[in-house]
Amino acid sequence: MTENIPTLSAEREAYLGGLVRQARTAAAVFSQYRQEDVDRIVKPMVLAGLEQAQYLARLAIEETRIGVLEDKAIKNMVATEFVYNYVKDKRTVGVIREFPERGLAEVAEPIGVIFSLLPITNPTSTVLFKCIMAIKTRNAVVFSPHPSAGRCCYEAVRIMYEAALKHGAPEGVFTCLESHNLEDNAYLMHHKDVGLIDATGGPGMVKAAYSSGKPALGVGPGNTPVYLEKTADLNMAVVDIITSKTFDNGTICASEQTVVIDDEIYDLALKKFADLGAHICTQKEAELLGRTVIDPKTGFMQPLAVGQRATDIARMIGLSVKPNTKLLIAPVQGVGREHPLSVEKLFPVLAVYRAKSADEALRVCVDVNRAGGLGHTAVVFSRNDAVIQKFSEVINAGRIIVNSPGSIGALGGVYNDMVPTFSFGCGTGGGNSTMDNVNIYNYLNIKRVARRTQAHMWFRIPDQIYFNLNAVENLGHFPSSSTIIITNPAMEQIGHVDIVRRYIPPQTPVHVTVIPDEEPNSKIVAQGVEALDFYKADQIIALGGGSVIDAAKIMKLKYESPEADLEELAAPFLDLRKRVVQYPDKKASRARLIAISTTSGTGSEVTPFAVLTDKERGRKVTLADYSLSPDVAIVDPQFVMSMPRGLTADTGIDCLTHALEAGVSIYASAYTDSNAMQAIRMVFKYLPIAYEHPQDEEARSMMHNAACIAAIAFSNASVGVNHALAHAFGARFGVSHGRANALMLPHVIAYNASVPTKFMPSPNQRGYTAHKKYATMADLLGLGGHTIEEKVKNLITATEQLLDRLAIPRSIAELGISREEFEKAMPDLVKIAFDDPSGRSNPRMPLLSELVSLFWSAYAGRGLTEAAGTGQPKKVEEAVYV
Amino acid sequence: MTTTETPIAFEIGSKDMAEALQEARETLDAAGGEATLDLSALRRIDPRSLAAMEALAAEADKKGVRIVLRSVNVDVYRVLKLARLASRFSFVP
Repeated sequence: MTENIPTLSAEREAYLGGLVRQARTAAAVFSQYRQEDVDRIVKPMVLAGLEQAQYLARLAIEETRIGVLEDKAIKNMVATEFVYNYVKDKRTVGVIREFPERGLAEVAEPIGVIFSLLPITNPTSTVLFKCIMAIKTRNAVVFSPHPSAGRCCYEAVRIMYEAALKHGAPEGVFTCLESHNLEDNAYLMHHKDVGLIDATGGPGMVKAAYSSGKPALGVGPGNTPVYLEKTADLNMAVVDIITSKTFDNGTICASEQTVVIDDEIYDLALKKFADLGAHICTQKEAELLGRTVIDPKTGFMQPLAVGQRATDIARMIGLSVKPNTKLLIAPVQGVGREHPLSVEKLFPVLAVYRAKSADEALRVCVDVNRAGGLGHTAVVFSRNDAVIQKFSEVINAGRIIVNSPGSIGALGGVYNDMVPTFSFGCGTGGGNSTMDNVNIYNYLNIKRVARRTQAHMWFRIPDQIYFNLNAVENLGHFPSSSTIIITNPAMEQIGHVDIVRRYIPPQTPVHVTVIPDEEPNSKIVAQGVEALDFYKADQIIALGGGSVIDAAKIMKLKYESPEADLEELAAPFLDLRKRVVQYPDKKASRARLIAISTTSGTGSEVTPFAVLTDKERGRKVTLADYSLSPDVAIVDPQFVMSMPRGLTADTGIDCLTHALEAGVSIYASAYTDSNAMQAIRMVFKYLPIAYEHPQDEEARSMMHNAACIAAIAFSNASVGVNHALAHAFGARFGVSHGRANALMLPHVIAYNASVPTKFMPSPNQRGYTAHKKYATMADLLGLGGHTIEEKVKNLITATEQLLDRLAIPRSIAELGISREEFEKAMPDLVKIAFDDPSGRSNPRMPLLSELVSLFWSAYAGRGLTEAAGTGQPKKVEEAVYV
Repeated sequence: MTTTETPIAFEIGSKDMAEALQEARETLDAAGGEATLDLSALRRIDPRSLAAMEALAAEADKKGVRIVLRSVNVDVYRVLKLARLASRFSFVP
């Protein structure tokens, strides 16, 4: 027992514990019922409640001496008929809702035992409401009525219980304490078998419920402000307010408390109130009323006044009013302790405030709302939608009732389409866990059954790709009124620009913008955009390697959408489809981008990526979006025939890395696999030839195509940790991208082929497949091996042999980087590699420690496969290329 | 607790369960250390039967007899769990 749990006598504890145990057993049995079993019980309960509505109302009046018999009877009918109308067709057992297109289903789980506190103000109606909700949701309830409403509540529970039992409900499903005290309530609130406390009552009880540590639906007090705005239908508003405030003598906590009236209609409104039976208090009467019906010590209403008639309250202060007076209206000048009548008054006394402006009116409404009514209910009468909108924005209330009575409106289902209830959630403002009109869904645990969904995948490539020797001739297919060629000085010097110009349709104005032979930066981009603007270009031809094509992509972006913020567009993302930052749709102008690649590696002519160097900050910004993809790619080997051997090797390995990584990426699909696998075969076959025999036209052509095909694969499947490592290492030590990739490649294959320490979440893949994909690659290369393990080792060996044949340094140490220097750089390298987006599509989730190991493996270089390999790989020369 | 070599067994579900449980209760003395109830035919359990299960468990505790429930349907098992009775029985497939 904690200090919050009272110590009861053994007999009392046994008694209360027995009640809960009985409810627990009933709830356990009830959990087996089907929807039709439940629905068969609910309807006769509702009919029994309707039948006894007046009888129960009379009992409540006799016992509590609060409210109006006729109104209480109506409340009992609302609590049965209206609630039934809402729940009758709702599913509350088993699968209650399904969203097949999203693979989601909701399954209802009963709570079990609910401990329910009942109020004095609406005792029997609250019982009827809660009993229907409990049966509909297969829960058992132990009720604890307000001490002054015990008999009527007990009778209401009995009527509901007997009706339920008669139609199949389990024995013990409802229990009602006949007499109890705060200690009993506290004990039951803490009972281990109580699953939920549903506290409809005074603030003390609600607070106790929340303090118990149990899940609780505690609904708090209100202080409903009403804004009677100058455009309102005054006749309707006055009747509605009187109807609501006098309903059951104002005992519904959603009833109107202070009406703020625009100056222009104030006098007329009060006259209409008076004409319809309200007594308008003088200032002196209002002060006397405030001192009498509000406790000056606590600032809260006097319990004796709750639910009493206006005439009786008038009598309390010695005020003589007409016998048919329905309502006492007291002008107030403000809100707060010094204006006692500005608080909640559950009796027919209404405060009114004259507002000089709409702003003032809203401010006073906010003050009333915050003076004890946060989260509850507010009312506005207006024909002006803007006023209603503003009111709903500034007032914190779960129910904002428009042009209708507050109390009956808040109950739901009578004046509006809200869910019928007798329990008003007040949200966090009222210290409640819900702001709903409490309903059957608050009596259920709703389980979500989420089936694995297959995300939509994509395969996007440029509109047109022309390849093989003299593919550049296809430039003649593209008419243009102004063409800009973006290129670098070398392309001009070796005559490539002239070749391109030759095939542009005659009479096309052509301008050449030569940019420095370096990775693009904002200055270079600005230079290009200036030219595009000046010549009003409708066609851009990018002629060069990856840097030139990347520059042209960014120039096109800024030319078409000058407002594009490159820094923002480079924001990181996890899933291309869900990225936060979207590339601009709006185009100021449009230009076709034709990319002619002069290297066989990056594949930039078909990729949606572009790298921008931020010189000032010393970093690179990667832009990625399919809108960056060139419209046309020309893959013509004549532009690569003169590539130096070193560049041939480095770019060729870059291409191989693209294909290998796309092949095992978590975004790999059958569409990308076909391209990745084909590119791998072409690289293994033609790269050595292109390297050793640079003038071999076929080898050059096939390598040029391989680079493009691998780029198509990784444009749609992305790359992996090899690129993440290479980006970090290459940038730090000034090593070319292809070479940096080469240093990591065998180690990354071995890493991805082993059982991951941590799997990468990959909804598009079924199981871990990287090792099998590598084995398939080995098979395609005809490398031999019987098991997956052997095949992977053979692929690594073949890769090693290829790197040797291309005379690529096989370790970082061989580059002359000292161990100390490398060790010093390691923290930065690991951090940058980990942040690199490439790693997020890797099949294994690279841990920081694993990145360190991979870097050191690359530093040490060769030896990995010798140590690990036991297969008998064929030499690359002997391999049968399929 | 001792175990009889030939534990008593009932098939419950084919007749009134509460009645069957009552029978089981009455024969606990003869059960030695263990009594087995076959619940394979039982699909749902009513409050009376649940109360009878509780009474049986109490009686068995008193007499030092272990009650083994055989082939309990998962829905019934869940009810026993919800009623906090499951821990008072042993379960066998």
